[in-house]
Amino acid sequence: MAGPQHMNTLDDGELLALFRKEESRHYAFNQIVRLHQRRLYAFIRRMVTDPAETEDILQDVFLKAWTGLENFRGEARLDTWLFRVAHNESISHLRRLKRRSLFNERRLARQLTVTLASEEHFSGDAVQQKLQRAVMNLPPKQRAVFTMKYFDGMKYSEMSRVTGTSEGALKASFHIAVKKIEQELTASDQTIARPKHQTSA
Amino acid sequence: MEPLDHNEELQQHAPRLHALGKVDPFKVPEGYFEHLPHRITERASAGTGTGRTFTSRERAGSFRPAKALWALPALAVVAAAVWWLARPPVQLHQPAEVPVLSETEFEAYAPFANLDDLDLSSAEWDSIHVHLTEEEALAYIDQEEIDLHELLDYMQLQ
Repeated sequence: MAGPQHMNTLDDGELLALFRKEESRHYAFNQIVRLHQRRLYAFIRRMVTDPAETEDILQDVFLKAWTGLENFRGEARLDTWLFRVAHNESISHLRRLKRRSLFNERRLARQLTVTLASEEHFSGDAVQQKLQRAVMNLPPKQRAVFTMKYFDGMKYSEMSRVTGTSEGALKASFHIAVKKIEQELTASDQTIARPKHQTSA
Repeated sequence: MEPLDHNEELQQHAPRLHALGKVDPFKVPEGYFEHLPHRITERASAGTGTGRTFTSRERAGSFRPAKALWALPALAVVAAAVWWLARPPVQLHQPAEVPVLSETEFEAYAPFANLDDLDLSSAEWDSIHVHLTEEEALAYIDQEEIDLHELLDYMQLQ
């Protein structure tokens, strides 16, 4: 979940310079993947939930990076640029999934929660499950905003570069997402806390 | 990072959410991150005969002019096939204009002129003759529901 690992001291410029040389291209790209894989994986996983789909999307992100890095001019930071690719790929994937399954977003979210019930893929407690369920009930773009801000701690300015949306719109989207999630957490707390004989009355 | 604003917002609007710890509950297959850089680099470089590689979705959904060159011969064959199927129908057996023959010309026409040369006398005509008794003939007429008037007319013609 953390950002770049401390196994590499090369900055973006040095890595890109190495990538552009034929003899050091593989080494540089290997380092780029090592630096960013965990953070991108965590983001994609929170967006799509399914582990196999996450791996496919992450692979596509890096393969696109391989082809796109030749033309990368360094106007944005490398991690922002990679995050942008991951964001777009995740949103596209969710759109495709929705079109293919002809499910609406709410039904699709319910389907995805089944994955959370699997102990093989999810280690969180009941509270974490509730949180993830609430996150998955958000529409894809809002889910991305919430994930980037809440879990990744990204700045709005960087989120704006990732999503291509204004900071104001992102703040509003995050605020609404937080309220929705809080509402769901509160509702589920009340359901659990309410004694059985009262619910049936 | 705007930590204060962010935390304040959470405290104010979402105390339950704020109270939760930010843990990562998703499990990742063992060794996944150790092997991924090598796997990705290998896969990426495998598709770089021309310095490019393509993801599965790119392969399925986009046009690559360089790759299209390889498709030109196939395209030519398909175009030829389409042209062949769409061309105006050729009448292989044109109705020939048959001149009206005079009687002399007709008789002079070899196959018919030499009909006598055919050994028709050797045909076993008797084999196709049917000799019926009166009872059999009446039974046959009854069975086939032959109109007697038509039969009599036919016999008169003979």
